[in-house]
Amino acid sequence: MAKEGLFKIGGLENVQINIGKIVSEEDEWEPMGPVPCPEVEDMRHWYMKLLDRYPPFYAPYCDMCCLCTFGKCDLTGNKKGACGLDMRGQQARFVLIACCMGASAHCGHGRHMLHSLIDMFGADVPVDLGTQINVEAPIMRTVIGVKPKVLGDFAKAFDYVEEQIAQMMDATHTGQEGSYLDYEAKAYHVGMLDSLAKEASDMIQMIAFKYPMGADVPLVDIGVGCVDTDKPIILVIGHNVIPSVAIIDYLDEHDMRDLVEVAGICCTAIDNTRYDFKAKVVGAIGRQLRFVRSGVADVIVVDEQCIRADIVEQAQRVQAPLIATNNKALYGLPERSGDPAEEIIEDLASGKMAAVAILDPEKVAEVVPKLAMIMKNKRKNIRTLPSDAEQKEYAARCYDCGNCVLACPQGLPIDRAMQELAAGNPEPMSILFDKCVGCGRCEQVCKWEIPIVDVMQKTALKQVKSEKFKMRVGRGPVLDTEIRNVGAPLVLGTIPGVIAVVGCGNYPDGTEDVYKIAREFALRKYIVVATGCGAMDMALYRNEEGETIYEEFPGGFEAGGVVNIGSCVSNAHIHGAAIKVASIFARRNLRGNMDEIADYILNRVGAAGVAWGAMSQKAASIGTGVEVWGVPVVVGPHGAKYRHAHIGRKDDLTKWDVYNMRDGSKVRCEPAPEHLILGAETVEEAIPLLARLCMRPVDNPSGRQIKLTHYMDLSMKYLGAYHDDWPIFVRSETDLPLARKEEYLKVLEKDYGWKIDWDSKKILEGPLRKQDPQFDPTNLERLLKGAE
Amino acid sequence: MNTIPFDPGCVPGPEMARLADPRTIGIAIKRAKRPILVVGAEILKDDLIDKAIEIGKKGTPIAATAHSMKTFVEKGYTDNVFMCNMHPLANNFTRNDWMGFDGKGNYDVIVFLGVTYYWSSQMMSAVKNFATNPLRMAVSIDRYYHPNAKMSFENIRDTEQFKSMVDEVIAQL
Amino acid sequence: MGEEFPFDINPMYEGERIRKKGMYVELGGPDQPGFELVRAASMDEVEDGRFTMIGPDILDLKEGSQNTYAMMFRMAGELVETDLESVVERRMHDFQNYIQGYMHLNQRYDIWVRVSKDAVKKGLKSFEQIAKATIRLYKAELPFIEKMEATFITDPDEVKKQLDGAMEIFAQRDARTRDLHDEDVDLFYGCTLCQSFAPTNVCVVTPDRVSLCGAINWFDGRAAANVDPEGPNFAIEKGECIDEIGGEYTGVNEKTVELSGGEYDRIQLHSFFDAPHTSCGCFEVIGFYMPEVDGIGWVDRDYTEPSPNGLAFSTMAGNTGGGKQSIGFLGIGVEYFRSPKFIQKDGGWNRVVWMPSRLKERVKDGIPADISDKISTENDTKTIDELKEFLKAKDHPVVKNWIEEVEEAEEEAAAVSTAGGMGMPMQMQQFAPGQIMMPAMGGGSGGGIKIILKNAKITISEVKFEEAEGSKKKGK
Repeated sequence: MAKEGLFKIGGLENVQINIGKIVSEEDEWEPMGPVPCPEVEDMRHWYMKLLDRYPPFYAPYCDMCCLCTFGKCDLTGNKKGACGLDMRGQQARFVLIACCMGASAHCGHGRHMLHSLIDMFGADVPVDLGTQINVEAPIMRTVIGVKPKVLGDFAKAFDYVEEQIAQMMDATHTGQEGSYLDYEAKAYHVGMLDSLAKEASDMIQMIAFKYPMGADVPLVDIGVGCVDTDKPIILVIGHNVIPSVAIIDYLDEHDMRDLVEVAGICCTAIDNTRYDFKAKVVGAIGRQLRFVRSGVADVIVVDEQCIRADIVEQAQRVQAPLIATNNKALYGLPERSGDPAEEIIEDLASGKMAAVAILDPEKVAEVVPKLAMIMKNKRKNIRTLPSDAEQKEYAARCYDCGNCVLACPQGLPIDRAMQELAAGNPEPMSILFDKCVGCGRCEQVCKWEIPIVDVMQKTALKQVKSEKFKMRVGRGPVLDTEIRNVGAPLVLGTIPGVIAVVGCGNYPDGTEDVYKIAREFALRKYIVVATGCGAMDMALYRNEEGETIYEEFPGGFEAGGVVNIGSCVSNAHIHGAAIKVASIFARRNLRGNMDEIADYILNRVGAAGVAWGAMSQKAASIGTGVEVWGVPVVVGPHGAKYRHAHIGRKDDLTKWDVYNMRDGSKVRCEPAPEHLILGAETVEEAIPLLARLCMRPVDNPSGRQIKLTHYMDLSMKYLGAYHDDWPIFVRSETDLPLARKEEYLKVLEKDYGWKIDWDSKKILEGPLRKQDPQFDPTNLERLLKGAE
Repeated sequence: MNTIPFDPGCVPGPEMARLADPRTIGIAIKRAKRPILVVGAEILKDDLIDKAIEIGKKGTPIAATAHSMKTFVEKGYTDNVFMCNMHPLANNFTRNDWMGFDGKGNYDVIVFLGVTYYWSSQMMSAVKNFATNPLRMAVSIDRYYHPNAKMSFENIRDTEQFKSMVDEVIAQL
Repeated sequence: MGEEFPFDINPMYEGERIRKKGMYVELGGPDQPGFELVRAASMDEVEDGRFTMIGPDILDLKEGSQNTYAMMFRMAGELVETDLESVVERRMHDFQNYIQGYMHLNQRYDIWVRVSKDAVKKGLKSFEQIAKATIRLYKAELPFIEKMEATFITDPDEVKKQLDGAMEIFAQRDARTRDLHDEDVDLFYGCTLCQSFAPTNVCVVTPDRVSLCGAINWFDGRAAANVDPEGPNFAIEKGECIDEIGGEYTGVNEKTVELSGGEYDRIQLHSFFDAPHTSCGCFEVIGFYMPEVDGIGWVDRDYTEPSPNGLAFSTMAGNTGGGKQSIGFLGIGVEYFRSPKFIQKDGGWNRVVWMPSRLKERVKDGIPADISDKISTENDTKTIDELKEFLKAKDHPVVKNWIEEVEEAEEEAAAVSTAGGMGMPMQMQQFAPGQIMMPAMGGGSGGGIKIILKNAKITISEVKFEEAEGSKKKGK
């Protein structure tokens, strides 16, 4: 019998009813769009549209290909290898490989967590993000057309991603894709998959562990200095939070929580604090080697991703036992989940074994806390950093060969700093501490075996120990109500845009850069969101009043908010926010409708991402994923090593023709955004560039005016000049920054030959196009009226 | 002679820069039909920008990347200096349909000075591999050995020595 | 840096707070009288850029002191009129906050201003500089201001004297706003600012209907349309009035249908059920129909609990927006509660049954005294059943309708059971997707909408089976 509902048939008179077919269907929360669970060919039209407007530029990282035994093949000058693939194709192929690696990392991590979480909680944990979120999983809804209701539903996301990754990785084999454009299209496809894998990964941990959400999440401690060295210290490094949650739970259950410090590095640290506010964040990847070397940690627990491959050796060096907990990183260690905890503890504490692998999180929890307490006592008198006398001796050894400088990825002047140290001045060396990314390459090439990493840390010890800052807990998704709140300010121009500060820590000039970027935009009332290493590193600085950035600015998705979205997998919520705009304001159907939603975002949502220290393959897939959803990305200078960029050719304005959905006509637009991914050399270059990349064709006059105001202001502030093509963003006098309107009108007339009516202060001639409030842009023919 | 790249791992392939002395590189620039000087963040170190301005005054247009424009403005030298981002600039070097900053055509000799090493190395790799027909030459008068350039100095640790080498280049123009 | 000003002028200084220890002087504020006033005047009366100072100028004030303050601006221009005074005056707060080192809070006779020590150090020496910067910004944004002059007063006696006159003007303006209604004007104003996100949404702003985001009232719309008639705010000729109660006009229909790209074919300004006004998604409050009580509830964006129908703001809000007419939901701005025409087509306040207590408190001056106690809040009821009891107890006007429906329903019950032997849910082809949206779940029981079909032919192309909720749960 049908469920009693709101419509009641009051009567039927002379009614004929014919029934066609009878089918079974899942949920009817939205009509299914054209392409749920797309194969690459289903979305290829969208990828190719992006590649047509933002054609790939290649800067080969290596002129050779060494992937098969025909090689190595020299591809210099765009030659072909033995398989027939040319240099461009090979670079694009490598982009795809890197993206597959990154997407596999997120998907593998997520799938692994899903297994563990279902084991722990069952598959029926409901998806409940509270009353302020209606669109709970924007990416999943859009890409695979599924609205997850319980934990187990997320398997569908991983199923789809895993299948697609195998297909895409297949294409990287010898003798597959011959077109660099299609390799790039596949990379876009993988970027899209990556975003889905991230969303599923973050959501499952959120709902299982009940992570906090919303603007009022608390502040937690970050920095080496906030680790309480009087207590036994457990250090966790990696991304998969299951083992460290198990440890924290064990400590809680055994009333040991306040006796032991749990400190973390990298995304595990961020996610730990979402579970337990008492967990400490040591810092991002740049602090990994140095913190381990400091010997502060009594036990080191590693899981997966971004961990030093020689972590066993490094732990041994400071006599801290190491537990590997993830099958992706076993280090040749014996796997001992099946052994009694007491035995493992005994073997490690006695020094019989330096390290073991334990894949069972419960066993990890039984071993690690007790081990940490024992090790605290045992390690009381060890010294890890050089004594004063040793320091002097090390510095004196240096004969200024300069090998260390060559080996340093940042080219830091370690040689000069060491000479100064030898002369009694430790300051230059201590300044390098923050700029150093902690890779250790310098030590390997030092002919006199100076432990440069330790020497440097010792000179910076006072500063390091005083690193006590505050970071806001990662809060996951932006609330639907927050999106609604910012709708009016975004169109009225009081919020100029959204800047996402994300990514790894391979910064050209130390961690302060991300602080500068975030603060500059927060002061200007942009919404600043942050994840991962970026979110952590920006917490390490204070303003004049002594406030860290999270204390200075509110944590809501609002004008001038600095929002810690969470760990690397939380990046998905940034796409999520943009997708929600399409769903909430324009009521676009999300389901199976990825190209339409990405098209909407590209044309309307004034956001730009900056991965200033992008280093890894995950950064590659994340960045590509950000692009494919329609948001431009700026990377730091090391990002040129990703081999490609997507550069718009503003001198060919035909590329910027966009359809007007109102009447199907083509409108020639200003290049906004001008590029989809490119690098900048310095932070001063990146900041005006980001402001420029926030402009969009649909900006109404107030919005465009405010964006232009900041773009011009930032250009003058950091570059000392305006880019000479700034008038391309002026559609009418109402777009001009208020405080300098007359001045700019004069410049437009004098330097650009525009015609101005000085009585009414109106622009008569000159702009590329007028602002049309009715302009409803799309790049997709299928969305035009009449198209089917 | 020190032909280790400043990033030792930055060994791109069989085609690597010829180590050249300042005079040779200077003459190559002088002989160019349309040379251009590309500077970046490191031009602000050690007063290198003064050298760039000297080169500019000899008639070479300057592409001011990173935030170097600010200092050109402060020094009062902005004629024939074009502010741009390096990535689109390198892209333009590889395209035959780009008409340069003055609209008269692309550049044949691209001189790099004062740019972060790995950043300009990648850009030179693009020129080396794709700006081949017609051939555009990237040369480096920076203080590093740049394997992706056609000609380059070696790694020079002594700043004064480096600056006098740049002077020797300028003397040829 | 402004060339002729020693201070920077930039929107980024809007939130700039000057604390006591950083302040050079305080003007107005909680401890001293102060006001700002913008008046329209004729072209001959106003001299562009003229500045008059009555009382000590900045440098003559004692550092750290609190002073009386008045800023009186006069504007002239062909399109300048008294009705625009308050719109222009409201911008004073934004513009003066763009000035680095000058903080402006509140408006009218509540203004609270501080000048920072840094600003004075950097060269701010006279209020004339502030006035000139303000005038520059005004003329840049509102070119219909052709001439503007200013008089600043810090002399306590003069401020007090002028304040009386100002208070009268504020009172007159408030009366004008209160007494201006839809029927008094020929033009309404449209707003398409949100079309960058919601391409089919058009707001119609009238004296009795504020925009749903709350940012644009009729006067704002008028000013903006004067500045840029081809911009996102523009005049709408009313045309003929088709329905006075519901607020339907030929001119409004024509314009909105055009600008929404034909999303709907008619629109009523003061109706909930019949061709309601659309929204983009930024509405401050959402109204929702509860058929069980034949009443309308309202919930604001900040209220996070579920309403009596079991749905929270975000879920219901997901059923409207996007510039589409969604029967059963209506997004509005908070000020619309104060409109004398508030959903008058459907009974106005007599149809309102529930709203959160904080919202009710906020708009209580707009609720007629006789209905106020009969409107429930979360403190009285949290479920439909509780609400029904409450409304019956208070004898709310909607209760009358229930009785009628129950009687009719009993009559129809017999007819339904004979025809209802189908046993399968039917998908009616008549309703275009999206035109009628009802709450997706938790719809409750009983009541509802009766449909009587006569001489109809129903073609069903597909019958979809839905698993009943119970069967979906996996066993533990």
